[in-house]
Amino acid sequence: MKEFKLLAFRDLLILKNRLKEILKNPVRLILYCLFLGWLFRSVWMGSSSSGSSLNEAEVPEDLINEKAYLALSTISGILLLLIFLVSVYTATLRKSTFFRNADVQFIFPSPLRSNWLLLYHVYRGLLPSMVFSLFSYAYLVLVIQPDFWMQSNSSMFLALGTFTLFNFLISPMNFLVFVLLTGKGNVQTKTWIIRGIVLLIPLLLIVPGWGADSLKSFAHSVFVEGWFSFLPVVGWTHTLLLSAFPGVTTPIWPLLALLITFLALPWLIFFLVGDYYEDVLQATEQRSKREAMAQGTELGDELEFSWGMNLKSRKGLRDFGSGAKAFFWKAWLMNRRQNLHPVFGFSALLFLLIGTALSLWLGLDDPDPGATEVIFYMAGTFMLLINFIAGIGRVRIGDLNRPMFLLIPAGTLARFYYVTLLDQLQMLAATAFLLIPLLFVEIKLWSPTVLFLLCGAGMYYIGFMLNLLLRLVVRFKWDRILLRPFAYILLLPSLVLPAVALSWAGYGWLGHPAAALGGVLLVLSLWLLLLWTLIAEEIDRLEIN
Amino acid sequence: MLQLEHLSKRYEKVPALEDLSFELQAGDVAGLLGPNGAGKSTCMKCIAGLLRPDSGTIRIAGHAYRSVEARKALSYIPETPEPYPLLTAWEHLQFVAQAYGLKNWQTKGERLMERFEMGPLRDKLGKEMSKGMRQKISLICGLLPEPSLLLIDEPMIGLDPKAIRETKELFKELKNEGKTLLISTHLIDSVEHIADRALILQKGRLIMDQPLEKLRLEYGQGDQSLEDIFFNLTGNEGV
Repeated sequence: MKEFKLLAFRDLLILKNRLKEILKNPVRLILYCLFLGWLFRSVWMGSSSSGSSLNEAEVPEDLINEKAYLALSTISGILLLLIFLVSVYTATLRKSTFFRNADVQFIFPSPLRSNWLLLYHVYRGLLPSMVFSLFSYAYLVLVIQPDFWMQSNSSMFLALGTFTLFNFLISPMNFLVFVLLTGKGNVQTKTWIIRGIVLLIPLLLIVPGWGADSLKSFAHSVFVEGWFSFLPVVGWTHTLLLSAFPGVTTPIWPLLALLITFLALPWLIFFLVGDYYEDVLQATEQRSKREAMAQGTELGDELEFSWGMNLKSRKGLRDFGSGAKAFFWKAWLMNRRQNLHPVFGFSALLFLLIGTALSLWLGLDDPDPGATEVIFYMAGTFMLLINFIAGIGRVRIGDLNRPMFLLIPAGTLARFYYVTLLDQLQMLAATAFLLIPLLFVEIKLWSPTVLFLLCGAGMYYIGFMLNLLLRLVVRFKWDRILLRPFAYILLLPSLVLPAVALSWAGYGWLGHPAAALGGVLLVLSLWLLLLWTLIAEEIDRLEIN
Repeated sequence: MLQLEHLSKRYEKVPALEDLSFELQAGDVAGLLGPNGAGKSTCMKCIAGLLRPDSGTIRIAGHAYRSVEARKALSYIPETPEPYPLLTAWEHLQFVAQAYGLKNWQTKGERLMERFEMGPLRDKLGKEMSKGMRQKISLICGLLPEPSLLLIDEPMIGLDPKAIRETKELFKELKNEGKTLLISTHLIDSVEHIADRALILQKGRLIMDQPLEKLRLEYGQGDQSLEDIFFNLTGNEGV
């Protein structure tokens, strides 16, 4: 185990230097103390309030809303399966790695045993998710369990812990697929076998649902009563996630199965790793390049980031005009080379698929306008969250870091607008594709659809500007990481609560759900105005300096 | 010390190395020269075990190139050094010393650091280092285990004039100590007075493997430099 000792020594040195960096500015410690205080307080308060009697925790049988349970079960089942299958399929397309360039340079040519190097890095990569998941479960079992269903945050902890575990299991599984394809054998055949399995799994779902007299009974037999829960990883996660639903008991076996997989996967990789080590350099260089592109320190390599099918699109480039529009042109070009279409790409098609499936499910048999409205508003709210997350993610992308962002001859607003325009169009397309099919079931939802699109745009820009503001004002990366959750938590009293209050007022006044969404839009507009004023001031200050 | 036999490597459909064979004896210092895209870096990375050749064999000090024994004999100094962002210069040396199981390495480490004027910068983090400092620390880490075979990819890029002179001096010392050096470079004149052999690659093929003296006699006209001879052989392709 010389390798483990050496790598642990390196990681300890890195940890020591990171701590020294944090301690360079003692004021910074206030933030960390606040964070630790909050963590300690939440555990302490949780444990001191857990003395309520078990009888209170018992939930009556009729609390289980069968319809909502079925909807949740179907949607979460489809989503988990999609995430899993898409990621396995993607693993057959691109190289995967757990290493950094420095690792490749310093440890791979050294006299060390490669398998052990990999095993250490796989476990180290999994460690944060494992700790977070175990913390969630421990908190759940030790602190919340006695009055489990009386506390709203119990479901959140269970769902969060389970999803983290699932999400991080995907990465070693992708890696396993990748290493299986790095051998010198018939890689093409192995690739097609894996892709065949990816296709076969959804087809197998037809078996338990065969002969169902309606889509609902099909969904019931597949996702609730069927063998879906025994499907490795996806089914186990599904079962655990559903136990966050009020009135459903939490089974222990899926958690154990997930944890065993978690521990076993690195060993499987260890034994099946084949010729991976000689692909490590390319895989690691690709990863660094992707990260550098995301941080804006490097431009994309045309060939590497182009999918063959779009190479032919070099001819006939569109001209969107001059000035800040150059950002839009560049984004359009790069997206066209990586996707089916810059706006209506893979993600938009995925949402169209989900929207169509939902509308078919809700509309074809036993139409229920009430259920359609519930699903519609759930889907719309979900898209608001997705828009917000997309806005946050946009700040990481290159253009804002490059000198050309400041040098291009255009106004600040125009520059920001064109940098984000394509992203915004993609999000609008995804939101529309999810919601519009539901209008075929319930046409009167058209005005809320329009308002959801506008609110989605607002949420996108709030996520974008909030993160950008943090980036402009807080220079040290670790301070930003720590401050970010606080900024999001602050949104609750300052954005979410006023929006909810105003939407209730709007609904009470006009009696129409569109009025409620109008209230949300008003609050979002005020927030956008405030954030834009702060950002514009900060950018002026930076440009002058 | 180093044997390559019929080595081939393709990047999808593009051949990078084709049927490459050569051998370096202990004490040989060879310059691996060639225009852009000739396959120099690919060749170095294959020997270092960081790229998988499609066919052919590589042996280092009589061992299969990926064995622990072979790697004990080898140091690889890449073209673009990437230190750990959160390790200091000295900690990089500590790490390498542990990886190679070195004992009493500190004095040598300090001497190398002083030689490359890195002594006062021993506590500088990887992320704070300039390109030249990265190059120096990579070189120092490569030299610390005292390997029998050194693979050096573009050693002079990013170095200041004094460091270039020190590096050249160091290569001469290593040559006198009987170490084997394979130096890939664009700067032909930088190996002219160090290398005793030239390996010229073009489009993945070895078009010339000759001792420098013989090369000058056969292909040089009068007092032509190695650079002039290189251009004569490769048809004025860019280096």
